[in-house]
Amino acid sequence: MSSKESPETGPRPVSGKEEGGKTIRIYVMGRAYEVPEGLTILKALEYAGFRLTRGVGCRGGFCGACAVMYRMPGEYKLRTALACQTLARDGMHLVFIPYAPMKKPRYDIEKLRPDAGSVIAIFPEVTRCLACNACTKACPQGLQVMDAIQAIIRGDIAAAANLAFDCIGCGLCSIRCPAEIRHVYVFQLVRRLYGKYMLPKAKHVEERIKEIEAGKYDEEMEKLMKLSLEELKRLYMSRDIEKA
Amino acid sequence: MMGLVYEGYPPEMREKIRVVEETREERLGQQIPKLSLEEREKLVRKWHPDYREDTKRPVRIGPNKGQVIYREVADLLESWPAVKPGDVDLDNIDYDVDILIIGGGGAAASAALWAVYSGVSPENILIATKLRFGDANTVKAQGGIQAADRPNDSPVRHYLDTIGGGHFANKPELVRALVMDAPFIIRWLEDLGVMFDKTGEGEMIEYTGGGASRRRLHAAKDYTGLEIMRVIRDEVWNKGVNVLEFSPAVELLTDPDTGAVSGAVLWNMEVKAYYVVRAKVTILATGGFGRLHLAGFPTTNHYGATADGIVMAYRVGANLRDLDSAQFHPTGVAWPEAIRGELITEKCRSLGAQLVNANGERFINELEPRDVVASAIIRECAEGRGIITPTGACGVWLDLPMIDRVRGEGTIRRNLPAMYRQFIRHGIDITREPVLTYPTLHYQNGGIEIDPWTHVLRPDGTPIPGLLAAGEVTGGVHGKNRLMGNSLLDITVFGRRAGITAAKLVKEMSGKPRISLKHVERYMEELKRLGVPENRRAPVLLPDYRGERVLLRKLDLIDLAPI
Amino acid sequence: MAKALLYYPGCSVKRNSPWYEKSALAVLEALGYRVKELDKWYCCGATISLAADDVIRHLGAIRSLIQAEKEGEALGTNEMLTVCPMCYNVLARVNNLLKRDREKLETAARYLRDENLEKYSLSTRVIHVVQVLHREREKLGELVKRRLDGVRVAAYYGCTLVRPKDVAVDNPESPRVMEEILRSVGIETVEYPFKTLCCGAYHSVYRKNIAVANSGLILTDAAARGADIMVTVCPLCHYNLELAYRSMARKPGIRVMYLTDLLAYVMGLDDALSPETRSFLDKLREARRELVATPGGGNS
Repeated sequence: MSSKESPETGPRPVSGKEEGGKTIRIYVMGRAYEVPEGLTILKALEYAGFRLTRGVGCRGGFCGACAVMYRMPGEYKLRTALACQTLARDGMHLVFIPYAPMKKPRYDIEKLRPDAGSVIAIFPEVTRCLACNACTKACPQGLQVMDAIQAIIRGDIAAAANLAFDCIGCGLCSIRCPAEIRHVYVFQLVRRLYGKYMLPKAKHVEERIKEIEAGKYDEEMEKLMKLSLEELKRLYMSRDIEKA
Repeated sequence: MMGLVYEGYPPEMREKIRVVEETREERLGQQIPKLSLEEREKLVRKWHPDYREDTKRPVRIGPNKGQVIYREVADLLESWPAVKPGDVDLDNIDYDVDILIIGGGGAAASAALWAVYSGVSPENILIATKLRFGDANTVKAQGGIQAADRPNDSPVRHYLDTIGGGHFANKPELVRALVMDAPFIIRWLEDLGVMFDKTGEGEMIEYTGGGASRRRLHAAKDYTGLEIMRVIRDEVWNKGVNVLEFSPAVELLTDPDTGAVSGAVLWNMEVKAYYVVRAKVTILATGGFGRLHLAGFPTTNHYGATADGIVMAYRVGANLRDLDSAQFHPTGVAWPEAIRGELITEKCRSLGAQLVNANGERFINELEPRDVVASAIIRECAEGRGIITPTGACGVWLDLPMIDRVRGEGTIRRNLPAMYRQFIRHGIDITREPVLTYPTLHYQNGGIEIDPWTHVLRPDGTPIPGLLAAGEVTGGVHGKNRLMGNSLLDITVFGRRAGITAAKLVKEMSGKPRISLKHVERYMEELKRLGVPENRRAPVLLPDYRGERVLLRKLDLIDLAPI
Repeated sequence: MAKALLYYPGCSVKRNSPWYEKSALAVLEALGYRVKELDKWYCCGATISLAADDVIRHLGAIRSLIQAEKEGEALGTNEMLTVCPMCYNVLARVNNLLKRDREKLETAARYLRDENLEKYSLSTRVIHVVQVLHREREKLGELVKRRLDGVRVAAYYGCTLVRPKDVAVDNPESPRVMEEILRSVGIETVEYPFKTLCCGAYHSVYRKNIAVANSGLILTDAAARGADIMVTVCPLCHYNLELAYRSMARKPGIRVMYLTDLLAYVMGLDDALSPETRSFLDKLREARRELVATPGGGNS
């Protein structure tokens, strides 16, 4: 190692011959890799040779499997991201956080009430919230995580459920939380309580179920299933279309 | 959001966007008539990958020998087993259960819950899934779930829409089950606590989708699939069903004499050990094949969508159907490069976003069925009316700002939060800028043939005892083309039916089934006769995206499990 | 001109004492106050936040103080109203702490800068509802619509309203503010020695016997001295007093309610009263009217 190189970066690896474009250097848990510019963190890692089982899921920002934390050169800030949604940048130091340790408690949703007491009985740590807001800063979805927890403490389940709706369960907030709150599962419970007990039930769905149970559509359905292909096509093309 | 936000469109693309902006006013309220069946047929035949000669070939082995299917699928069917029969010790059973459910998405979770509701004890059910429970295409379904439950709608109409959208190739009994069960499924999900979009009185806010003649898409913002998945998964955990993650099935087990399916061999991808599971009933809910990248297309599918289910089912004699057809979602991301191939939900078009070519013209009614819209976009690009990206990809504009223009400021932020977030991360604000789109491989229309109670059928129409299947792995529900909102419905309707059927079969069965890999041995003889190269093995479990430079230098010196 | 207050409700009031909030706000409104709940507010942190060297635990309180500062400008006030004495105590103490310790203020500001929150400029004044009622007691007297002659009331203060001294709303040893408020609306008060004895506070969660013993003593003594009603301004005291009452084999003849419930009643603000409180007070008033000869006492 020459004196100019820090032990962390090591010598610059020889670039492959096959790629002509610009490359950047990323540090995967401290180890440098040279990758083409313009890839997401996930694709950059794969390019570098990682064949992942952990830390990859839907690849579209919906499943929360590919949470990463990183720092950029010259910054104190510990940033978070979803690897499948974020471009790899030159000098990025990153680590995968593919799992936040937490066991989901079991409960019988039928026996709960949509109030803070139900939530706190299962997740007592919610009341330990210090309002430090580290959770909000960690959320790669940009959710107001602390506000959602605070809403639970004051008993506003509806607000909490709506604030936490876009949660994809990556668990980064729970990793950062000094109160050790299991946000992912707290929010899951809160949303279900809201959806089940606080949103009014759809009466028209109930009506249709009654009609189906009474056999209202059976005859028409039988008839349709017996139609010749030609008749069926004609019927299909002549059906009226409701405006969007 | 603490991640960095980036630059957005490069100047040369920004320049091209001006045409979209300049024509927006005149496109407002412009009606593009829908095509006749003949016109549709002509368009699709000329441009859709399903009709291209070079994308398909006849499969040369197994129950459907001679059937023409996509090349990538044929290659998988003509593959050696991933595990050789001699390599596993079937005398030591690791899990002895009533029901084995293979897969970790919405169909698997629905099957588990309905088996529990039907009286099977949760500890006698095992869900084995490749990645995490919930890592599935289900969570990526944004637009909604269909159910004909409004007064001006009916299941009969839903049936007609579905079968017409599927080019009349659907299996009628399956479509009937799909549409008649739909309202029950909505009520079930509502009761579990799914946060559907509703009015203050509880009425479902329903959207229209391509090929549907009524507004019947129930949504939970544009996270519908995620919301359904996380709720039913939560409930599976609550019930105490056993779940093995990172342990995909690599082969089914069968009774050596009757050929009845009696479990599976699982492989723990983390520690690379196998487990033998004996089960009275096995449910395949392994999803689709997007990660095979048919015809070289990018895909919207999750990382594990590698057609494992059809490979395993084919080896035990299942009939496969409609695998000559794949759904290319008309609107995949064409730019930014980093998320190319990802889905732009059809809900955008439901809400009024327009497709616009490089000349600022609309070229298709946006609410035609998916294959028709996809074909039209491919045509525009092939005939030089597309927009070329800096990385050489081609696409047409999806004019999203039109949504706010027509439905009022704030509609996009309210109804498409996931989508807004996905693009703003790359510096593109969809409330002001159009996005570039091109078709992407989205859905496996065909698959394993089942009956309405999910029994897997042989080519002669008889069921394979002990084997059920539900969801994207099956064929027949959607014919040659699936309508938006029918996939979330498919997995819940047939997942439920599989759970109920499995419970019934378990009750009828006395004693433990016998297990063997005899069917694999027979299949291997055929492979040998065919002269299939030894290194072609399936299921493949995961795609391989490693860079060429690494692969050229790859050496397996010691067996490490990566974390 | 309407006087304005920035309202900080507190979690336990929101969750457990909706009628207290109602009666308190109704009384203030009748006094001519415009009370605006903060758009955003955070759990005060309760007693857990009072270790002086632990700035992270003060952040919720500081955020709320900043929020009040932000909203106060438009409303033309710097007064942040609390009804829960615990919230009052914590918010006022954190406020004082920051005033005394500029370094701490800086540390907090550095941390909150990440959230684009402005540095707190120490202008918010935390007040408790009894302070407002006390300064408005003359006007309260003018707003009386029903008299409660012959009804005797004991005021219970508990701890957090009067301790420690730097945030006490009155003399910590012998507070009088509630009695003065009550007398201004013509209600007779009862003196008793336990009005600042601790109710048992959070012991009611794990060591109920402590809360029951303390609160039981408070109730029994006040009842023995002829009180019909005990008023409090604290949701936790209220909870413990009721808990004690329910656990006592021999019930003392005394009813626990919030100070503002009683005020709302005499001011005729019936919508702000729970049906139970109202019917209790109606009955009590009838009973006392028969007992007490009130020359020319036809009011209401």
